Parts: sequence; C-alpha cells; structure tokens
Amino acid sequence: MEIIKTKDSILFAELYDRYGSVVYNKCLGFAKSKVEAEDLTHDIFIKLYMKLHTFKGSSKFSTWLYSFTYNFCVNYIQRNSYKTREKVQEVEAEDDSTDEITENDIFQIKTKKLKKVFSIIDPKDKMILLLKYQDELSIKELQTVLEISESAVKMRLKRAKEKVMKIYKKL
Amino acid sequence: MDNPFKKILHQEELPKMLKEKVMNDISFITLAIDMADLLAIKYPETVENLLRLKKDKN
Repeated sequence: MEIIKTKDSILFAELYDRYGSVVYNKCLGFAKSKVEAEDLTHDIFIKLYMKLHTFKGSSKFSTWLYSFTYNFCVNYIQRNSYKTREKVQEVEAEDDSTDEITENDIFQIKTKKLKKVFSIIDPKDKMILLLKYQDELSIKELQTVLEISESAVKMRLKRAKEKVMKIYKKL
Repeated sequence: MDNPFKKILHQEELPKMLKEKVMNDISFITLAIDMADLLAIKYPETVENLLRLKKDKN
C-alpha cells in the first residue's frame, strides 16, 4: 500500500471513505452512545495515521484494521470501567466447568441475549469472539493479528465461549 | 444456523462531519511533524553546513 510510505492525506481520505463506516459500526458495539462511538472512530483514525507503518502485510489490511479497532475500543473500556471489570471477573472465576462449548451452542443464543452478554463480559473476550464469529477470521489469522500461538488462540477462544455461556445461563 | 454475531453488528450511517474533523486533525498533525522536522533537524543542519563552509573558506 502506497499510503504507508507516503502518508499522503488524500490517500488517507480514501482509506477513511472505504473503512470509516465499518470502524464506526464496530465502535458502536463497544460505546454507550453514538457520540462516544464518533469520538472513538475519530481517535482510531488519528492513531491509524500515526501507526500505519506498523502494518507489515502479514494479514489482509481489513483484518489488521479490525483488530486495531477492537484493541483501541478494549483499551478505552478497560481504562474507563476498571472496577466493573474486576467484579465481572470475580463472578466468572467462581464456576470452573470444563465442558467443551461448540459453535452450535453459541449460535443458539438469541441476538438480544448476546447483546446483553456482551455488555457484561470482559471486552478482551468480546474482541476475540467478534474476530472469530463476526469477522470470520481463521485460527491462523487470529494468531497473526493477536501475535500469540495457535494453542493460546484456542485456549482464549475456549475460555471466552465458556464465559459467554456462564453469563448467558445466569441471565 | 443463524449466526447471532452477524446480527449484533450495527448498520448506522457514518456522520458526514466526522471526516472533516479527522482530516483537519491529520493536516494539523502533518504540519506539526513537518515543522518539528524543519526546526529540529533541517534548520540546524543547514546552519551547521553554512558555518562549516565559512570555516573552510577561512
């Protein structure tokens, strides 16, 4: 991508036109209001402009950008709701089942309930589940964007699914 | 089977004024970087070269 070398603002405007809407709609999934999502989108594109050189082309640009967006949103939420997150983690730690949760089990959850689960769950777990089931990244792609091993990806996915099911059952 | 993860994705329209705000800030950042480069690197380099030229002449 030429823009990475040149940092041309006209090319960056094209990049914004192409991905702005997707980024904004992903931010809406993390923000409490439209205004907050607009601020997040703005800050993500500013940071993206400064960090474009870190894209090495080892994955598709869209995949990298989604991960970049989620990371930004997760950090934002963790900064602003540290205490709430602590409480959720404590609740999750109580129950420690080892049953394998399948894709089918997860897909049984109704949209409304899933939204509710996602408003409670740790944003890091939400991020990996969205990358896997909304953006349909493969395990290999997840390895690349999260910069962790295959077994670590599988373990994080397994734990995230377990947490979703635990919260879902308590709703 | 329906994938509920696809259904929770928002489909809102991106506010138009946001692009202007982003691009204005990008222009400001670019200007600030260029100014810093000019004042902290290029200008001192030029002065240094000029002084060296004068010294060589003498």
